[in-house]
Amino acid sequence: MMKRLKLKYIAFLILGSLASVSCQDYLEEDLRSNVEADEAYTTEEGFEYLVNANYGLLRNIYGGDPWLFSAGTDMYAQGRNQQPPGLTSYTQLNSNSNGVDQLYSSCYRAIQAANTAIYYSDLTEQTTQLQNQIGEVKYLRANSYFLLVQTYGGVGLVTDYITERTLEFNRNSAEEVYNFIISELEESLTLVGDEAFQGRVNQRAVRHLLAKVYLTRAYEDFGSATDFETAAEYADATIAGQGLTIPFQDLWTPGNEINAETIFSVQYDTGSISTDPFSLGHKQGSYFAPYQGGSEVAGDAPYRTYMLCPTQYLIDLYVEDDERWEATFMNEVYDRYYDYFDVENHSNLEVAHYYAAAWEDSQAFQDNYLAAHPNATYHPYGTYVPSTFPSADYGTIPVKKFDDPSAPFGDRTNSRDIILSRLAETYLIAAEAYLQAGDASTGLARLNEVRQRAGVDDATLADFDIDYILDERARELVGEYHRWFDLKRTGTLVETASMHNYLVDEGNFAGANGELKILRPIPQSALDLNQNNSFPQNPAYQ
Amino acid sequence: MRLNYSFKDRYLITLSNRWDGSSLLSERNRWDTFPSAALAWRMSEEDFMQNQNIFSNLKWRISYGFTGNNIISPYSTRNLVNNQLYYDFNGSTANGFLPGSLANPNLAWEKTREVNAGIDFGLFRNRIEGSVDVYDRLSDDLLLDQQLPLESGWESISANVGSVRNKGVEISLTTRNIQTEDFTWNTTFTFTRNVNEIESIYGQDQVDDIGNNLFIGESIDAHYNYDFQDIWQADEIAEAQGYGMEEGQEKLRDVNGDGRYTPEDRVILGSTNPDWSGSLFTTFKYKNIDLSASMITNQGVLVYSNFHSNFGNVMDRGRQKLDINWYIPENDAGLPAQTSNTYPEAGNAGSFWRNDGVGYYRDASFVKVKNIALGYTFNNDVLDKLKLKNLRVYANVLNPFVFTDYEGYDPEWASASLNTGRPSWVTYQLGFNLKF
Repeated sequence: MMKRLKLKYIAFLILGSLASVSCQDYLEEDLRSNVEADEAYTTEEGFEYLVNANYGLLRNIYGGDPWLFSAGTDMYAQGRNQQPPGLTSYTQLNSNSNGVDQLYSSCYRAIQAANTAIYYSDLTEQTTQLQNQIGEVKYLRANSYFLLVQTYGGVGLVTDYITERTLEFNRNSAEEVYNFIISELEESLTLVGDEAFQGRVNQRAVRHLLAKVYLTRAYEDFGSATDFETAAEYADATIAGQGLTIPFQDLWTPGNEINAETIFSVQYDTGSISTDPFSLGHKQGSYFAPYQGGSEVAGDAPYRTYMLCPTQYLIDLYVEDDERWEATFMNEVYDRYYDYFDVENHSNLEVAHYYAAAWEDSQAFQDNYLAAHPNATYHPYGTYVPSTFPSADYGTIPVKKFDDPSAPFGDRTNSRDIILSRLAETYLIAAEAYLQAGDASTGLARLNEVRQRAGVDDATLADFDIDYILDERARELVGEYHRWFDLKRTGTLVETASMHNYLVDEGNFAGANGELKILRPIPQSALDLNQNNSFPQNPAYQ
Repeated sequence: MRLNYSFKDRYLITLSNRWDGSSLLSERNRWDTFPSAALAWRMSEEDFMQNQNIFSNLKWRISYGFTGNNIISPYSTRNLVNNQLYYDFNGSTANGFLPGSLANPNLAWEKTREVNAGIDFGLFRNRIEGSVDVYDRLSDDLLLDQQLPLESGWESISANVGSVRNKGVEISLTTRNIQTEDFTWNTTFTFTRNVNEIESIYGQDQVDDIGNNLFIGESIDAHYNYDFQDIWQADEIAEAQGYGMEEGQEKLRDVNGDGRYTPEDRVILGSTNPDWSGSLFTTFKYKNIDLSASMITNQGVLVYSNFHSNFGNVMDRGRQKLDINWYIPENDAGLPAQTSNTYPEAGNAGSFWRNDGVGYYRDASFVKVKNIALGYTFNNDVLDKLKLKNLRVYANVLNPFVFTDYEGYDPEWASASLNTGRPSWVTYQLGFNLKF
């Protein structure tokens, strides 16, 4: 009995193993819908898709909520709607605070895409534009690391294309990260093209970023003694003798995002967001302004979050001659908000809201204005800022630089480019670099270029110091994604934010180990997923 | 391949083996074998059991075998360029493509080894019938979509991550309580207890993977978070400040006692897996009338309640909100102060409440009557007149009662997302069955 059973079993075994051999073919997949990376990226066309993807990830980094760029600073404060409390007022800032991980995940995603491109650049078809493309990708990767090192301090330098499950990562020092950024950018400078800016990284964009990186490293204790000078040199090389000749107002005309002063921007276009205009656009225009109505105003006015509203400090920086006041703020709101853009002749338009500037702070002005515009809601100077706890729609002054009248009504629908670097900022980088390098008069000359274009008097050498530069940067760069980095770089974050932001006190910055919460915490999601349990948190959050 | 052998109807042997291949897995590991063996002994057939009248049936069973699982997204072994990104250069389209997730060229079968021992029995001429099973299942190379470290720049990989053990017992008991010509009453009870425990991850059993919620020695459905205690009250402001908190915000258990709330204070709070489940089904029949009812229970269930986190959220104006006892501090806004130890001050909750959701864990244990049915079957003489074969009229009520402390829609679906888990309806049905 048992013997028969055994024989039978063996017979089945043999049959079975035969079956498994012949089945191999049956399981072969013929994949037609998608291509594998090795096949795609080694062709010219496929490699271009990979490079484009590297640009596309810029939208991931800059297209969402700008908390890490703008919240908790002197220029913008919480309006009627609550912002993430940790990044807004520092007290509750910890590793799991809302928004803390934004740059960490988006930049590392971009870095890995860049590593992938650099890996495949050796294997792909060798084309004439390949060297340019490598340079562009290296710039984009360096830009991600620059955002990371400013935000979180030293981070892990991941420079290889990861093809296997990797679960442990180490932290590098900030110094090592800066060294990497600089050497990559200097290499990029030798690779990228030199044509006028049309959306791709060019030499000018690389020089501008190099100026900014050297300027930022110069303040660090590991910075080199010549960093300020190097920053000034790169800034001057970026300027290359070009003056600021475009009227400030025209820089922000919708559709004029690529102009002679644009150095680098994140590209958007109604066509390239048309697959899903409600999530592929960006949010820059949704901030820095009060709520102006819901879907009932769709097509007439933009959606606004009532967050990151301009503070009294910012309002007070402008004087009467400054063309930037009217070009930055919608100080006079017409009945239909978008008529400002859509109607050529404004003289017959009804005014709905008026925000009085500092030099208009008198009863006489108000009476005259209301006599001429009896239907307007008049917001006296000093009343339309977050610290007065506005609750009505239009309760703070709207920033209009980023308005996209063609965008559908929504918080992420903007299709105008996000300007990351432009020539006036290069002048301000030069001004700061020369000042800190001990050449204040050259620095002042650079700064005054910016002031002259705005139509205001030159600053004097007696006025000219780092605070003055920060004020000028505020006047010039409202809503552009620089402020938190500017304050952090110059070591003025604690003082200025607590002086000018009603939700920030100096004590809010007190962290663990007697450290201040200036660097952001390493996001808890990063620490939790990293199997290297000795990856250190920043001391203020330990 | 399967082989059955029985000897004198007392000893039963089943041997089987499967060779399975899956194109979802890597080429190297796509074929695997899954043998199993089972032995049973019908003790009640033995000669020495013929002289007793307690056991009408008694069967011992033991089995040992392997099964495989290959449920994973297709093409996980390949680096497919399937993630489209949108861009343009000054208006001319420049779309890009990246791989969506990291390919895993080593993907293999998740293989579960199961040992099961059981007994089937019938007592007193099968007036009582039942079975008891105990099992121990060890799943090796558990298949999961594993999140990857942020530094890798990859979001996830389909991977074999570790071993998880399920041990448990299942009991089923049917009793025929009353059996007369006019009146019968039967009941069936079931009881299940399963303990789920991760044995190892990534080939080691020392370091947890917090990010993927994999904790050595804990359930795969464990909840790991800060332990919410109550609310900081007005007379505790000074102490609250030491923790960086304010009056009206959540108070947590400072597990390591260092006077601060840090990620090290997170602990395993419990698990979505019930400690035990049971069911009861009972039927009465009296002459033409039949009445049946069924009831289920899950006990010891801790869920993260999406109901509470959604309707307890006061961060936007648009949504409906729960009318709950928010903490309201002394104020000059004309609102009467209200103390609470369950909910923070609305709009001023701390980051642990808002970002970690510490306040939304709920015990979702319940006892639920699933069904009560009452029927009447007409006699043959009535049927003959109506020329019918069978006629039964009945009234049914589905989900009539739930006994639970859980406040959300339906404790049975408490852990489901609000998109999928909504209340079970109470349904009343009247009907008749007709056969011609």
